[in-house]
Amino acid sequence: MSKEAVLEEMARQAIDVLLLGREGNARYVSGARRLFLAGERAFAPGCVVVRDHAAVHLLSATDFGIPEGIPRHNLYAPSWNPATLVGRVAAIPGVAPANRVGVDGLTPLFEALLASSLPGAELVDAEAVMRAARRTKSAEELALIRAAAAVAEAMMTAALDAVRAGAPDGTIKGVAMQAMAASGVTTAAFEPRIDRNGGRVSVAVGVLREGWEADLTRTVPGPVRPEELTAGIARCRAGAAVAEIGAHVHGIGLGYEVLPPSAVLEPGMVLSVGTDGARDVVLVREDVPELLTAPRS
Amino acid sequence: MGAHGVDVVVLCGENNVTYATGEPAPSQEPARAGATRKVAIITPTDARLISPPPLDFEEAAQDLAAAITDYPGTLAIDEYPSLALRRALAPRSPADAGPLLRSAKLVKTSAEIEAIRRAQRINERAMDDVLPLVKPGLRDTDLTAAFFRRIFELGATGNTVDPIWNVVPSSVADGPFTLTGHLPFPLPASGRVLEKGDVILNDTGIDVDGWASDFGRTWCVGFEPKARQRSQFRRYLDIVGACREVIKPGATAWDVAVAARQANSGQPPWFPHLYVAHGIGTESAELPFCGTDLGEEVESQVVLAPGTVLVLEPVVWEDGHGGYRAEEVVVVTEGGCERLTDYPHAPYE
Repeated sequence: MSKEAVLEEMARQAIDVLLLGREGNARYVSGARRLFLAGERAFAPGCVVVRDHAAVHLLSATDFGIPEGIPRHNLYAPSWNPATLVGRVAAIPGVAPANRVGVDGLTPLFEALLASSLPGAELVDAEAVMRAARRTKSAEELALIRAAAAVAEAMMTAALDAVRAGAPDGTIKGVAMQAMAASGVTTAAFEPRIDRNGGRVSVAVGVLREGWEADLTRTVPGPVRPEELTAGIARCRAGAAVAEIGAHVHGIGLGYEVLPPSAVLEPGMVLSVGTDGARDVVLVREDVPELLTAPRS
Repeated sequence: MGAHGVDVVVLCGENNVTYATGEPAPSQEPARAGATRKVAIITPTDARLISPPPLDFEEAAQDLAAAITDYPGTLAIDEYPSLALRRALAPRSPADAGPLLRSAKLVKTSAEIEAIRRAQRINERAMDDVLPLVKPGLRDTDLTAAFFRRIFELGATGNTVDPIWNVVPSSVADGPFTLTGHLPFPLPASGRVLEKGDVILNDTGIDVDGWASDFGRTWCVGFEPKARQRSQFRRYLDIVGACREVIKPGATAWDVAVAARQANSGQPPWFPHLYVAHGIGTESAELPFCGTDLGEEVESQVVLAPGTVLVLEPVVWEDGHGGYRAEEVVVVTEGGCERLTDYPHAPYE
């Protein structure tokens, strides 16, 4: 259970309360589906985790999309007044007495408001907690990523058909996004990207299905050096460092996950691995990694 | 910057970076957008864009702070993407860049207004392809599919809001639970099959080269609006008219909320967790707001000026009989305001 993983990591890092602004973090610990907005947002406390009570509280005016495990009295209402919002957060049982409060971002205004509402609290890094909890994927999470990969492949099929038909970029993007929504998924990880280089056309697509991401890149008629990605993927084994893979690598799960070059791979991590004109999603294992996207033809 | 006593502004928020530098960010999910963000360092004479590694880690945060030491004086920042950056910049005691951004964004240049108009036009033309699909048996996600296809064909560079085709009950009590006692608008698409008699409140927003649109209308599935609904629509037009009457240079955000309330028999014609109007620019909804829980004290300090762009989105609701909601984008001119939205209210007119 993802909530248990977060609570364990909070205990390990001696953090009493998390105030989460990043939607992927909030979704990981709560399972809640709130309205998707593209783009980066400044920090605001949208989800509160209280370790002593093993409780998750969510900023939401409705229980639509909120899992049953989160009772209505754990919802707090939005406000346009940041002071009001911080007041609501501070009133959540267990928040006011907290000594170490984790935040995954900050703004000058929320910093000042938290300092006055929670005067005894030390602000610490919540992202480190969430990164540790989210690093490896459960079987259930892998199934969700595989399902996302199937939608990404449907997008790619539609896009490559349009490429082969000589369609302009706008149409290629349009048919890819249309195919995604026709699969019942209405949120892209990014808008389709098209790169034309000489006679080659590369298409990159990414999807968020129930919040879980898969992305892939394909090139028509094929990448210049297809063996590069094959070799990079083969190096994605437990114990290898990201810098040793020899490809563009980031983690994926509930969206994009940052992996520094020094990060060492563990079984259960899911990586998006790309080279020029090609990208796949792979599951790290002790031995040969498993491809979660369909093999390149 | 001068008016706020600031020598250098560091912007980490993508919409602020686009606003200040003209450099659009690609439309991406939030974590990817955060990890690949550009940071702008703005002085009165210079704007520098940096593409730092993800700022969650100490080394990247320290490197960015080191780059900022090239710019002495009073520093303001919009947000800290990570606690690591907060710590790295602590010696500079950054001020909040929020107030100066709010002042600057309140007035759009004519080029910015044209960028919003262009985004709005693409959003509207795409709806020409969606509206014929509003019929029994289709799914809400089919509307999304048609919308996506068309916006990209027409030149959109992103979709910023999961498109909303919110089927609303005629009574609040028949809908999902809310903390506000009103409708839980907006709810995302869920694959729901449309049925004859459904009333849809739609809401979409796209990105075109960094600038946003905002589109909203009320649609009926498989039937023509009834007399009661048409009267709701007429009241909607009255409220929009009353708002447009007061929107001119020198009016305040609070004046707009007051005008809307007066045109609705004294009751606020908007969802209590939202507003009757909001700004638009590099985001579909940005400051200023009219009719929020910030209240009179804050909103009466926000003075509209030529170039302020507002989205009016009153909701006429008669519990038990449904309601009408739509959105009209207007820009403040020297003498009043003019519409940027150019789309009919089918099937109501």
